[in-house]
Amino acid sequence: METPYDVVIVGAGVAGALCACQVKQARPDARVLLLDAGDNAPEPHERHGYVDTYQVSPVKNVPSPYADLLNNKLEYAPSSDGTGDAAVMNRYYDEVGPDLFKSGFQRMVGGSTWAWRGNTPRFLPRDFELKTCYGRGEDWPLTYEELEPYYARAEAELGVSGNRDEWDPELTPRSTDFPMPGIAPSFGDQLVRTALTDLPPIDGTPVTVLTTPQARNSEEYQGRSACQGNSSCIPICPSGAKYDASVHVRRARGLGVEIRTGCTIVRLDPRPGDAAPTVAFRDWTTTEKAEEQVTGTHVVLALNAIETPKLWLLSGLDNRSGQVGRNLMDHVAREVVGLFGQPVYPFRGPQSILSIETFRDGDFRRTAGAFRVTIGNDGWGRTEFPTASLDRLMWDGTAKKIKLFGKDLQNKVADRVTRMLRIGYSTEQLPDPANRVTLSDKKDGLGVPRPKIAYRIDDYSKAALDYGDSVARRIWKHLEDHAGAHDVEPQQPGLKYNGAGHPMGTMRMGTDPNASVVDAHGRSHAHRNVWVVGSSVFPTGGTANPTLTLAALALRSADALAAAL
Amino acid sequence: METTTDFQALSELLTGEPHLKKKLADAYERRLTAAYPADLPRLIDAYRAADAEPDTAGALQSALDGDAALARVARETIAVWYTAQFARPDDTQDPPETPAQYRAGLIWKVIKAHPISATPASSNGYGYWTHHP
Repeated sequence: METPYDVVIVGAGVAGALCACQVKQARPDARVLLLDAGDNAPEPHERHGYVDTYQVSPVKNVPSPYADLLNNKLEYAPSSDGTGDAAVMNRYYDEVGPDLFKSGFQRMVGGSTWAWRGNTPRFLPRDFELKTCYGRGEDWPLTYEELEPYYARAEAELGVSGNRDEWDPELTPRSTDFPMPGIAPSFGDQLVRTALTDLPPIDGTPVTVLTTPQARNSEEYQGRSACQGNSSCIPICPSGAKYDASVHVRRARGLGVEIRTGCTIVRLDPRPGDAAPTVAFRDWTTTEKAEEQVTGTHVVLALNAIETPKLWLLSGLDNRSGQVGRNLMDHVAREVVGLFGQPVYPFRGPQSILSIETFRDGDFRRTAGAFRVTIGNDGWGRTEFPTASLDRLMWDGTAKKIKLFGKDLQNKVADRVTRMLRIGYSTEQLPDPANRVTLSDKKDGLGVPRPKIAYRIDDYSKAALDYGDSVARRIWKHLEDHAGAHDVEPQQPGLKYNGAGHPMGTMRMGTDPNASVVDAHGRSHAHRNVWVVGSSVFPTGGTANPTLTLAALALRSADALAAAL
Repeated sequence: METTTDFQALSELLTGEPHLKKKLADAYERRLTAAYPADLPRLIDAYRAADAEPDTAGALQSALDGDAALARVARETIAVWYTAQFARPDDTQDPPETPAQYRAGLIWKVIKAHPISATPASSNGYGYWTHHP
């Protein structure tokens, strides 16, 4: 049987598009096909359309700009909205609990990077050795030192801004400078950082405010402008100053990678021996939507931690480890909000610029998950949007009366919203084999099973949430005592939590074929010509936003794949 | 010179903004009338009556306090000027008709920011957010 492609890559998000570029650059003669279920064109004019859609949307949430994409509207390849609200989620996931998995993804060319915040901290060296250091979770089959050169390459590919002296060598040792200087802190950030300067260590841990590395341009970079401060990293960057994978999709096309869109993969058909499975898909943009097939010497699965195991399981591929679909993780998050003593003027500039990284590691990880703290530049974030502030100040919902109007209302709105400050924390979650993606009986618009998700937030994560809350409150107490802050909410930690939009695990990497799905290069133990890239291969989740790490791993996989051609 | 409509004058009283645009006022009056065909005209009538009083704002507040339906449509009138959208009687949202309406929302001006996803033309680009607005 003729093999028309050397490499077939399924999924044109950051992992797949990066992989396509790297393989093609290393092996210009290779025939590479990049398939994606989305049918959007990764061109600048498309971005303007998303912005317009967002602006006229009655609901301003993550999926708002993309709701009109036909794969979403007609459910040919639905995204999961991940709104976090059980009452309004789009029900793509078939969730069986006991807790709700609140993180979604965008199925489109460019993937979820269209809607990400763009934060790109690296994992800490000890995140790769959680088992060895703290007796919890798993060790990765590679070390920070082994991945470090790929981190540097990934930062150059995505375009990451950051301040080296804040990170190197204590937190994340570096072999290179960041490609760009760190993003300039906002007016309010500067006030908050000053107010926290004399905050004593909390439980012996210093509270140091840093500039978060971000895949957001602080100067023109590779033809994309510096950040214009639209305050809309999530759900859509209007200027393109924030990286999204359309950058590498366009680059892949320029390198000669063949790209087909609107192609939803319905199955992988195993072939004899080590031959990579046949990729069966349906082009839903055609009238017939008939099944087509394509083969490659190598197949790369570059979906996400939900869709990759789903595709593997519905295809009946080898699951000798029993680990496919297991160990689904997220960075469960909360925020403590309050009114600062003077205006911080949120909603000007990126949504979050500063962070506190000192609680990402420590001996406490033997009993409680670590967490990463962010200082918001977006008011009260998910707690109270400015429009909700308006209604709260204007309308008495019990008496059904107008409380304020005119200039008095303006002044009250200005006084409240301009002083809104959010301190968020997102937590580490251990891999739990019972947190699992399997196949639902329910189908999407093409008859493909939807993912069924069993998910529970374990005691380790709950302890991280509790400790994060305690630290955030002590930070707020300092701001109350020294910066005139007040109205800190919630007054008591509750049961509410948010997803971070970071699905991880489900196709874990490791050295033991009986305990992991892929090896340290993302190559399947069972199907040697199938590769998996993306955060699904993470054995543990740490506390860093996963995109930079998955990009570094994808580059490492691409090198190995190119060498195998 | 354009004549200020009673809806426009009512809106200026409710929002505290002295120079609302007539084109927007006409669009919002049309949208609100479609959702509140009886109560919006009653609210405008209440404004006309209040405008004849020495304390127009106080008179309008009294009228709203005594009539929950009038208060509701006043709430939605304020909402549409601040956010370009409002809640219909069944509490579904009537969204901005155009991106331009969204960008004209008063709330962004009041909080000295800019409409989310739309940079102000006067922002001077990168780093404007480091300074006091």
